[in-house]
Amino acid sequence: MKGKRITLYVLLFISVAIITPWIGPESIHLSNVLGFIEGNHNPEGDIFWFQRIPRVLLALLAGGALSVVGASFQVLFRNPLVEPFTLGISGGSSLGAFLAISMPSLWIVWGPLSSVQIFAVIGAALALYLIFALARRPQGMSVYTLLLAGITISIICSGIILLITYLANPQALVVFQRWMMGGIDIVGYGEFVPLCPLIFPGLGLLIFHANDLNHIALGDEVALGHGVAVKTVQRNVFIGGGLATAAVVSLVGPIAFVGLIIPHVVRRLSGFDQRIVLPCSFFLGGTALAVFDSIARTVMAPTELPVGIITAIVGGPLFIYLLVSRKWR
Amino acid sequence: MNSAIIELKNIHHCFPGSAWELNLERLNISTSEVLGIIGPNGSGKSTLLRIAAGVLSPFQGTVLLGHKELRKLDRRSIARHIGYLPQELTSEYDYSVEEIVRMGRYPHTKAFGSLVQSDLDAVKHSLEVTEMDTMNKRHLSCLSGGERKRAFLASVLAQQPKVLLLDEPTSALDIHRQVQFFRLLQSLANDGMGIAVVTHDLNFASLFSDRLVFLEQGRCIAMGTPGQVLTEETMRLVYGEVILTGRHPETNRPMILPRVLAEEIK
Repeated sequence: MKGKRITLYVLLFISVAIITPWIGPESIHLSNVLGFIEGNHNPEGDIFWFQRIPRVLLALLAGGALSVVGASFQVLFRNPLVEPFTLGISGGSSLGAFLAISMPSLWIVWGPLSSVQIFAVIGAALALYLIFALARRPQGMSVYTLLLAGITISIICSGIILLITYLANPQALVVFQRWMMGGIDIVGYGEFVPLCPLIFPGLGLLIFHANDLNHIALGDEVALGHGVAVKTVQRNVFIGGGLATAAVVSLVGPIAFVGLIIPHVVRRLSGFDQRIVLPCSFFLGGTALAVFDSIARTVMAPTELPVGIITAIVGGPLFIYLLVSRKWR
Repeated sequence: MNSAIIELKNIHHCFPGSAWELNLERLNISTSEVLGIIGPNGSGKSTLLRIAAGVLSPFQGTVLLGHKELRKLDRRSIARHIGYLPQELTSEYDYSVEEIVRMGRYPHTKAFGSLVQSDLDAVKHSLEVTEMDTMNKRHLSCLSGGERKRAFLASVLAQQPKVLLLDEPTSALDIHRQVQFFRLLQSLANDGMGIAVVTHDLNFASLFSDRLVFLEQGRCIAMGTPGQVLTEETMRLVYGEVILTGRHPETNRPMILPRVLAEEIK
């Protein structure tokens, strides 16, 4: 039964993975794509293999990762409004990215990674560490302190960003604003492959604790009574989710709503068992972001919209619908 | 001969910023008996139970499970021996009764919680014992407070523990359900399980407990059989003159009644 439910999401995910690379302002013919593999280099094959495919792969991975993190954090913090960015990780990441954009002295390149990516990861990691250090208590970690610390770090980062915005030159502001809108417009595979070692272990940790999260949803004391090492699970889910979020944000910027709404949609469609919710959130989140990105690159072609605009415009009304409907939890 | 499963020795606990303290020299929770933990609000009943369950670590003192120190054991092995039902039973998500009961098999399963036939048998048995088998597909949001308590009790029973620690399990139950519930506890004790139950209902505690522990302001003021604990003197000491003690017509165990004069209720 569980297998069947997950299979439907996987089929949708695969279908979108196959279809969306063909969608875009330039029409692409299958013969040119196949010819490119055989060594017949042509612009269509180049667009398909080095722009569309990495872009779709990144959308599938980023959307999936944000949704899994959102689903896990909503259970961990017992708060249906939590999303991957609530915890201030994206605040740290944005601050790092903005520093890299606005200060030419920080422009470095490390392998395929740009200074924006590197500083976004560093910012997210620092925020993660700071939040974790603030929430630690001798008797364990308090999820409420964690949430408050996260929100506070987020506010502090926003304050510093405002300060730099006030001082920075207008050119840097335009670049930063574009980064904040979120985008998946990468070229080639070099940018996201090096971040996979952060994303996959992070997601693996969350999936590993999916069953534990079912018990934590019943309350810490019930979970402890059932035999769950609650504090260990809280720590691992926080770190795993934080790592995955940091890597994703450094690549695509803070893309709103996917991590908030997709878990709710999955719960409405497939129940509350986190062993189903987490993998299905990955597949549906990836599917949704790939579709949103296809819309973003075609709706105003040849101009491409940042995908964050589409997710917010589509996600906002969907969230309001979930909010007012009876079984929204 | 009842043997101690959980032993609490020289327990001292307090909460930061509060003058309240729990001090308990010694308490055993043994096989084949129902131990009632009673006392007024704030006497430390739930704190004591949480310490016995290993959910709360005392500032000082030792809790032994068998002959091993509880704090040195991992949660899964504790859960294979101790079933703990806290007072507050809430869920962010609307699980079905069967899902809740299946979760009770956690200490016997691997990481992803897949159940084998023996687990499913234990789940079925727990649902039957608590009379929740006909409601197994219902979701938490569709259950009354009492049904919810029974669903969570079934989950704890599915752990197949040696000892049950229950915090106010009958607080939301109708009187006939309370009787059924305590009879169930007695039959589990007859089968060898040790049971410690925190309750505010002194009469149920008197009728269905083999031993009682009476706490007042974090101290044990009486321990023994219901007849030894629920005396006129103890009642007056704790509750003042508003309590009247009598005897149950069938069992001759102490019964507690409010002291009200006939002219007061006219």
